[in-house]
Amino acid sequence: MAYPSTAREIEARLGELDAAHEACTRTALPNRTHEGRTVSYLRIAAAGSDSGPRVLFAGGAHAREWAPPDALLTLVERLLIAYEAGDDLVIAAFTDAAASPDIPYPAATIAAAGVRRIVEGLQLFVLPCINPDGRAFSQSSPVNAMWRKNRRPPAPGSPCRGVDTNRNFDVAWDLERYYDDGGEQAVAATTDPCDPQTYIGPSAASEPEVRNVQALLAEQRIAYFVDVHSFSRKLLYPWGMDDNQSRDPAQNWRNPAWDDRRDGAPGGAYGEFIARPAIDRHERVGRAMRDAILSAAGSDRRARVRSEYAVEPGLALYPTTGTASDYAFSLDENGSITSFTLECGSDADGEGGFQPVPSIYPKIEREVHLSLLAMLAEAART
Amino acid sequence: MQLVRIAGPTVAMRALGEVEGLDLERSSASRLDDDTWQVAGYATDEALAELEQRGLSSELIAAPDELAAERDELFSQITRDEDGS
Repeated sequence: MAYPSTAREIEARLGELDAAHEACTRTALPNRTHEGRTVSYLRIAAAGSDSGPRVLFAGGAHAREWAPPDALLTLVERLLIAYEAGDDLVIAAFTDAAASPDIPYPAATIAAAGVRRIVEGLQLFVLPCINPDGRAFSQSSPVNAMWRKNRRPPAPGSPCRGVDTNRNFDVAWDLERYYDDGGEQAVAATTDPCDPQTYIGPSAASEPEVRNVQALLAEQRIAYFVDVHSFSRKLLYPWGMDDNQSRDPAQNWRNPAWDDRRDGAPGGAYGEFIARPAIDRHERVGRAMRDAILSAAGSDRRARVRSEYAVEPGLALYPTTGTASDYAFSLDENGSITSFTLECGSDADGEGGFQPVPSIYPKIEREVHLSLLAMLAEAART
Repeated sequence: MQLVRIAGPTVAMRALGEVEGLDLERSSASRLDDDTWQVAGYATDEALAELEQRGLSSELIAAPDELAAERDELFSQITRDEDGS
């Protein structure tokens, strides 16, 4: 399947993988999209196995971010092929020939024993394209290529279509209640349906795409979650709606006493509570994911610079509400769920931002594969 | 529309959501020093002028013709079904 895949090709590929591999099962999620598309996920686990930590990788929430769904599909494919053959999983060498001089990225190997531990020790769920309507629209014409939202029809009397599916999850969704004026100004979310980027929707989890993910997270009791986006070479962990603090559990998104008083600012008076062990666990897993990318970059200095991912809390300068990764983390009040947003690729170094060209796509793909395989290895150890 | 990297002080950068014609990739925000941040985004010519008025700097990453050429290359890869999906 050639990159970039269409929404229809992705759904078809899921069926093909199911048919071709005993350790892989395709299931359609309960909610069709606004335009009537089916959204499916794969479950990868050794035949007959129903034990081990449950991991979910998702992608394609933002329509214009074309690389993540393709990278998730090829990850599944390569993992299953290696497992069934009893072989190592080899991440192919890549040469960035657009750079001058060329930049070599050597091959990397996940040993066959590691592949077996993943497939036999975990329940892996992969939902490559959360928002197929948006992807189809984004790929329908160059003038639509920057479309980000889903394709929710306009409300009566409004010309404006679409909701940002990564602002519609049921976590701190109601930003007008949540923040003070400064936080509301800075937040990367809006109640304006005509905003082309970050409209939060008419109610929490109003969108079928979002209800699908929420259902999968809850019903499968997902312990490890990665929502794959692009771009900025970052591994972001909760929280996104404010800066993290571990001193005062009363400062939390559920506490109405803080409504209209949260600043959404780094170093501000309010901070979102996260227990220290949860921060430490995310830092540890995030470093393993980051190091997997960097250690596969070889010795070329430019390759190493271009393979540096940052591990950070979700809030840098702009707070976010209603995101998938914060929602996944929020499902256990004790903070036991490990949840990341992987922002793959870069605006720099010819990587193309939201839509890397085919010649550089293998670099993005290998970074997604290496980091997610590192998380799977971590999960398989628990 | 061009791809740019914008830099400036915290207060001005947190207010970038007000700028018409600017499509930020907010996850790319990174701190340069105590009170200076940078972020990537797609900007119209009008948005670039507004950024300049606000005293913010912008560095060109990809010009409109570069973005268009990349997009053309990608669209040539896509095999569309009759309904465009």
